[in-house]
Amino acid sequence: MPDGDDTSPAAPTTLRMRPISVSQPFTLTLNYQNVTFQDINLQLSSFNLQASPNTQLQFPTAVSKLIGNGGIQLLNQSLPQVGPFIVHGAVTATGHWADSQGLVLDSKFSGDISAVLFSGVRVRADGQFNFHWAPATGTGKVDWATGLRLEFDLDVLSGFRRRR
Amino acid sequence: MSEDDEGEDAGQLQIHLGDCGADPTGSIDLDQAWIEWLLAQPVPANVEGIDESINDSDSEYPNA
Repeated sequence: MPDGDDTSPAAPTTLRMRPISVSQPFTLTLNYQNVTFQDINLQLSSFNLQASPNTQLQFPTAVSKLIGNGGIQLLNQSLPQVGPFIVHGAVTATGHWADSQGLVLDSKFSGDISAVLFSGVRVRADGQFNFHWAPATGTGKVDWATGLRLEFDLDVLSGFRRRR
Repeated sequence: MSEDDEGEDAGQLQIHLGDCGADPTGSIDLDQAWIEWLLAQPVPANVEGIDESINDSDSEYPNA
């Protein structure tokens, strides 16, 4: 090495990194006002956390920017794909709830709960993702460690009537 | 007249639907360009729990 100098230019950031292998829990909450399930399905089809002020993402334990942003990108990629399943689950559960309460849908909706207007909808999604990075090979992956556990709270103004 | 037409309006209600589930299957294959990009992204205002002081570099792996 010239001049006996054993120093070398700083390695790129990624080459100085430690190996990472973590499984990170998170909670995502989505708040909507004056929407139908059809509206929510449409909004989830183009979900982007950064552009969704009605959305809050929380990591219960502090994470690095790299891991946190990796999780955000996984959510941005995945929510549009699972949106229809989320809405389908909510429609089914709402139907079961109405049955249990002795309620039926107004006939104007022709049996389609996804067209009912809710004054408020709050969705809480709990899940966990994996983040792996191997600096030695320059490869890694962000993927799902669990499914999403979903809870819905709905404010209903109208749309259901008591069964006689 | 159908059954529901005869009933009274249910009025304002709050529904808690309890647990439902969804199974996302997506994944992101990381390479060095991805890592650099993720590190360069700002932390969105609607995210809590990202600590920018946590450093993923480690002097134990200077030439890894």
